[in-house]
Amino acid sequence: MLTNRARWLILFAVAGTVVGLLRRQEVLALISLSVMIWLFIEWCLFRVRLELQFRHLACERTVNGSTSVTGTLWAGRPVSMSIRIVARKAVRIPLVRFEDALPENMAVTGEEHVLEASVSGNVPIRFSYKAHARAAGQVILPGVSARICDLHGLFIARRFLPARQSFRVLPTCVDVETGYPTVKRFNAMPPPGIHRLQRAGMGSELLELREYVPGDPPKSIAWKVSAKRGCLMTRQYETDVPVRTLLFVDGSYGTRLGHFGQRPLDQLMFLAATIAKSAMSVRDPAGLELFDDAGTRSIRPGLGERQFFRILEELSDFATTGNDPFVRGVDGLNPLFHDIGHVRDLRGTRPTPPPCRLTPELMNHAWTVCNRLWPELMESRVNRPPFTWFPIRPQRRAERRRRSLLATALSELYPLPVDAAIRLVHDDNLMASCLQRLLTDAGFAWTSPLVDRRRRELHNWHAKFETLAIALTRAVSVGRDNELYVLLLDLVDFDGPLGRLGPLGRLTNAIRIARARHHRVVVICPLPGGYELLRAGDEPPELTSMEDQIRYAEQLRLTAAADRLKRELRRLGAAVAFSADRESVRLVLTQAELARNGRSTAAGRR
Amino acid sequence: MNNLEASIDRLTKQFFPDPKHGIPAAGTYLAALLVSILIVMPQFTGSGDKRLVWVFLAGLIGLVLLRLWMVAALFLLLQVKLSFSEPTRYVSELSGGELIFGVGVLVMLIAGSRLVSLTSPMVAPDSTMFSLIRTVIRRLRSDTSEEQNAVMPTRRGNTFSTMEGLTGLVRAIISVLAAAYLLSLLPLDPTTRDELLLFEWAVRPITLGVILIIVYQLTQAILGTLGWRRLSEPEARVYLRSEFVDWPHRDIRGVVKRQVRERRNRRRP
Repeated sequence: MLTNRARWLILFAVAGTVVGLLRRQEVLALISLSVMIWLFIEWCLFRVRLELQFRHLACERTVNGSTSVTGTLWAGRPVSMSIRIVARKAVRIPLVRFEDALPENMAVTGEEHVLEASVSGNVPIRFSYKAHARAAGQVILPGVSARICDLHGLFIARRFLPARQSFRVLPTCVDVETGYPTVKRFNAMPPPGIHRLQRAGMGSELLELREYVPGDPPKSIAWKVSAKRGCLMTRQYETDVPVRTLLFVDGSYGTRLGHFGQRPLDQLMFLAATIAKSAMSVRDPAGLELFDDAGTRSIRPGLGERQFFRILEELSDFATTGNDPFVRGVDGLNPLFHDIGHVRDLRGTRPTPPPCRLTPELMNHAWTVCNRLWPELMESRVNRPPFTWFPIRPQRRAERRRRSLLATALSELYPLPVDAAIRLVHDDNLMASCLQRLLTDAGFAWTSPLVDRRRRELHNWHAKFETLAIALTRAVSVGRDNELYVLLLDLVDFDGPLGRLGPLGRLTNAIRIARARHHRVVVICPLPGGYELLRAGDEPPELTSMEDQIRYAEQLRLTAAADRLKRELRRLGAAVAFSADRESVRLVLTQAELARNGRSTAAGRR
Repeated sequence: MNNLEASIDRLTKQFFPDPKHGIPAAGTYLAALLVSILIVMPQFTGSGDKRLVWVFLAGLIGLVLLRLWMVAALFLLLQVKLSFSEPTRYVSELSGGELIFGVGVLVMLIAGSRLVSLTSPMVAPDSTMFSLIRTVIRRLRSDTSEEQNAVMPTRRGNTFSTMEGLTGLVRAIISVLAAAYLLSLLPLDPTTRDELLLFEWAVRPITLGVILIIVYQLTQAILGTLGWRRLSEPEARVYLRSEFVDWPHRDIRGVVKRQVRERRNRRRP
């Protein structure tokens, strides 16, 4: 609570008073004692304001004009937020800084979400700002963080005004313009959602004439042609089919790494929503199959606005929940880590990141988040680290103290045993795991500043391909002819063998089965945030810094991996794209068009 | 209190009409600082030691230019000067001039600290001496990157409330009068030494220390009780956890360290 300014003043005041009294210099003693008394008065007033008056403040947040505790937002669309601080009784706090505590998934646009004000009487304080959600999933707005201090900068304290609101964030989707054939091939206009497949069926358009076979319906006999040829001829009609689009969305742990808005999962959400919208806008049924290493969730193909929103909601929920990562070699390292639950006042956003090193950045990040969201638990009045002689160096000592405070707060926020606080102080791995869990629960997708997705063994390829292959085979077995399967799959890190015996073998077999049943298969693989594939004619850029070189090396690796996978998947007859942009959506729509008209290649386009 | 503040502000604005911005706080506190320096300076010039005057002025100007927190340094300079120049005396009565001088010094410190809080939020309140030195070096190099790290709220754009200034002055007067009263209570009688069985030089500091500690403890007990009664359940649990951990932490620490060491050894090939 005391700042260094106050500490220095107290030190000099006490020294001056003692010297003045000892040497009988009354003016020196008077001045020094006056300063002490002034500090004492300021301290009393600050404590009274902090302990008694601040508790009368309450906070209300209005999001898009509604104060409801739950709601729905759209990723990327602006949200207007308004904060109102109300005093239930007359208070007088001369200087306080309010800051709306936002999770990482919310980004402020334009004005700051901070207000510095003095609270006087019952007059409410308002401030407004605009923000937007970075990615689909869930946003929890816990409340407003307040930093109270006196006018002279001698005392400072943090408090938190809870105003919890929880929002489901739906993935954004855009309209993608597609080309259309330049050659007019049909005069007939089937009803929306129905497409002509040039195979024998019960449609209305003529496919061919053939000789009569016993058992053909008499009404399909072409009497005029039969009279000309002297034998009975039967009209064979085309099939009228809907083209069903089934989206397979990968939600395994590898897709959830990175900052909100740049994760592969966010790109997959955008693609899935856009493809579903495009398909349903021409009345093609769209369905969803969500999968990860452990299992699948599905929505049967359907039509209509209700189905569309059901797909979006399922995508949003899927972005929030997931399975814990598959981490080889460290399973069972920290038994305590597996026992801990989630922060009581925040809903857990599983999965938890894998254990990593305890870095100063991680500590600083967790310290800031804890001080902002749970300042009361970090106060030295209630959170008292045990006294130790070591470490002696002031900097190390301050670090140890900070770690002890965090450990005690963590053991309260999670249901940990009492001795866990000491365990956390001395066990780096355990501390790193708990801090990462804390940051994830608080809405921060903590990853190391330079994420190395390779060598971390985060992908459980066998399980993922097995799950996807089962889901795809099941879809083929219950599907009709001529369906479109879009596999939105994080595949770029796969460096295993491509043959039938490798982990990819089950998936390639499933794709072969789908192709054999005349279905269209499109594989779209997102790239890690911010990376693009190199083209054949691209000149190598001038690399000045180490970061540029690392980035370029990563780009080369991704390009090589993408080329290798493209060759293998195209050999199976699947269309492949390694990006998550509008071009990929166009590729899917082209394949949908092919599935509708039964052709094998795209018609001429303008 | 709020009505009084509103009335005083209304009255002030009649004399200083500026409906848009009112009276800027920084200007007001700078004026208060200068006035208080005018009260304090005769004490320096009258003592005959001109070097201390120059040291005081140079330090003041330097600190103001650097916009760093100068109050403790100013206070220390003043104390050094007084300890060198003030004569020893055996009467505890203080004259009116000395009380006014005390009020002037306190107003100077209050105005200075408020001025710095308003104009220079760059040094964090809980910063260490090392960060303070780093900040000075950055400032001398005209590097303002530190300003992004400000954590102390400021009221740069806010207007000055007359009530705020008045309460500051009242607190300064109360502090000086209370200090004078406390000093007058301290015994200077040579017989006190025999009555209290203490050395003569220890009587006054110990008496004052006892008084201050009693007052502080009483206040702390009242405010602490008020605060403790309003503790939330998680806060109380954290306190209990801290206290529980305090007793066995040496034993558990040894066990944990041994486990970590064993795990590290196991992982080595």
